[in-house]
Amino acid sequence: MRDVIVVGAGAGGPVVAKELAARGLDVLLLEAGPAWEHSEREWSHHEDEANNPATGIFRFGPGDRTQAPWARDLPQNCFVWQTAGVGGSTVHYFGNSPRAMPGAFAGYDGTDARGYDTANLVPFTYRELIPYYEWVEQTLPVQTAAMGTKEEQFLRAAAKLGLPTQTSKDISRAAFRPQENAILQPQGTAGRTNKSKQLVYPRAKGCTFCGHCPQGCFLPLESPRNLRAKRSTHTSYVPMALTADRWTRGKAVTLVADAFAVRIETVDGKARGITWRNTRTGTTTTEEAKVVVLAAGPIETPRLWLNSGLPNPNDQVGRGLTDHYLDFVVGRLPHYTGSSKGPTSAARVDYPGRGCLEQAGVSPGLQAQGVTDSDAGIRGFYDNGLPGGRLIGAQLKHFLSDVDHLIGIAVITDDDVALENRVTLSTTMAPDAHGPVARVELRHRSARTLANREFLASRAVELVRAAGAREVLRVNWAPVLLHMQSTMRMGPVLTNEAESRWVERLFVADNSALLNALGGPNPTLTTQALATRTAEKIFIRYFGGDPWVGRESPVSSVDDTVTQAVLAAGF
Amino acid sequence: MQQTMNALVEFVVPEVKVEATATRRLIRTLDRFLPGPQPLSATAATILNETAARVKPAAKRGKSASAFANLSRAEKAKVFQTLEALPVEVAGSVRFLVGNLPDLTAFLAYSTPAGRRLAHYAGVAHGRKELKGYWQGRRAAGP
Repeated sequence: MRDVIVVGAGAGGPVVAKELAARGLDVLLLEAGPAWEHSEREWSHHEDEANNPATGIFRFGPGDRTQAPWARDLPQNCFVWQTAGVGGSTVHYFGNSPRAMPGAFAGYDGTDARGYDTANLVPFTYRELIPYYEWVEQTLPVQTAAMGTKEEQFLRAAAKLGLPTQTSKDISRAAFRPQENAILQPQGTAGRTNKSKQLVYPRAKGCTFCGHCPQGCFLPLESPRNLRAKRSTHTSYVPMALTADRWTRGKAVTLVADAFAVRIETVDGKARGITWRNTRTGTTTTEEAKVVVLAAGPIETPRLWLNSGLPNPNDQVGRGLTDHYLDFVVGRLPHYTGSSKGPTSAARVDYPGRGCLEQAGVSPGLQAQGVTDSDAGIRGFYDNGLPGGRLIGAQLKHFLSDVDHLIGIAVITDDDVALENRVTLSTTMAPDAHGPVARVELRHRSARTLANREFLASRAVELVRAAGAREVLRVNWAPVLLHMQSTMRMGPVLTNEAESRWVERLFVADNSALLNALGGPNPTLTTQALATRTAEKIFIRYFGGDPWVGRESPVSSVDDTVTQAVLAAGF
Repeated sequence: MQQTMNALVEFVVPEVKVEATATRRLIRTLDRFLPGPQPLSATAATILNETAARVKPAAKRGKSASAFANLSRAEKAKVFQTLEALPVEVAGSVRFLVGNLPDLTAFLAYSTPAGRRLAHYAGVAHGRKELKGYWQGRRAAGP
């Protein structure tokens, strides 16, 4: 019997796995997608190869790409941007690692305290989470982003609008700043040359400004896996988990990829193990464990719960999906912006009680996708009664005639939990090899959510105009689900320690455990801080251990001891 | 189906140089996204053509076998407007499919070599000479 089985090697699961392995526990980490053992050869910077939702390397589907992706029942116009495989969606994420808004937590007494999703506050204080933030920020590590041209222009425009610079990691007022990113700062030749031959590790270290965050980061060339620029868990926590016997006196985690969990095993109301299906061979395996941690993401975690027939007495499992109701505003400038170059998002503005804006520059395929995905019709033809709209035809070609003359801003709304927005089991689509598929319904936006989104979109338009844009497009995106949160919330479904209310020894450590949309900031860092806290709670409650956060210093994933461990292990 | 998908690509990105590759990739993407007894590209084409015939009945008898392809740009837009007006409670899956067609098409078209040239993209790279330093010289957040 294992000590712990963790289901899912995305943003949260590897954090629990690494932390408990470092304490000497026997941890099995399951991942439904591929292992990416040779990502430098397996990944591609070409967008269709990397990001095609059906055939791409980064898709929600099995590692064998001759097979179809895994199906979801999505009964509305929306797009789910999620990647299966070790690292999960952190392999395509932008590395943005802001802390949450303090107002999203219990005990907040700022003058704007009523401006948040007050019915769904995180059930402990922001102050309590700070040591866990610090632990994760040092482990990944999180660093202040360097600027390229697009960041320089974004930040100058924000200053021109009269906003102050934020210098702390803690958000206390409307302010702008370079992102705190889980991306290593450029050193040596990185960011200073276009020439591949000069961009080989160790001449280049950290971010090379290639502009390919959404296609996965395997740079600098020839760098050890734990020294790649972007700190996906594939690069940071997973290598540490797999070598916990080398860089500390822990026990190396056992990682099984291509392993789709199909059932949570229970005995007498307690979690007892997991049954999974090998996606390549079709065989199923069951392993037992003292504790099970679900981290399959806010769609698959409730699906697995429901497919396992576990209790749901208050009908809250899967309910309350938040997604930051994202939108996209793009300006077209008469001069160079370098929009397709450098880290995808390296500058932001936070508006407490409203949400956030972040600069977002991508290569042409994703840029084109971003300006053609809308609920507000086609510009020049119809608008469905909504502001904004997608570009097509000559307007699209004109707008995208030079991708490096654009400045894109993602609008990240602090959206309220709405119980109508939920994950259930589909009764209209056929089950797949892993059981009934998930149905994701988005049916309601609160007045506050809608008002926040309009406020932020207006600020984004002002910002790109201040940057010099002569033409501005507000797209009014249909829901783009890349910040999915709060489908297994602490409170209604989980205890304040992220353990299931109805099944002992069963914990949740992904975005679904978040109780709300965090005030708007990107959720990954908070999920990782919370997962660290959850690991500590597990260790104390079920293994008789002591807490370590705030008492010990974390080892950074770029520490020499980790590099030596990674190289010795042959990664 | 081929003609309908080609007309969709031409509607979204009217550029001869990208049409053939983008159409091929669009059909492949749809059919791989959700395999079934009927390829998804055929389902999409049927929806577009049936709606086209409602928008303009004469489109069934045009130059192309595809009613959608026989429409003007304004009429093609009307097809999307009509489909986007379907109530989500009864036509959610259609809304999902139709809602994703323009952006999937645009993504695929601008991912082709010709599409990248249309956007004057510098091309994929292992790094760029683009580092401008740190805002106000700050390399780390304060307390």
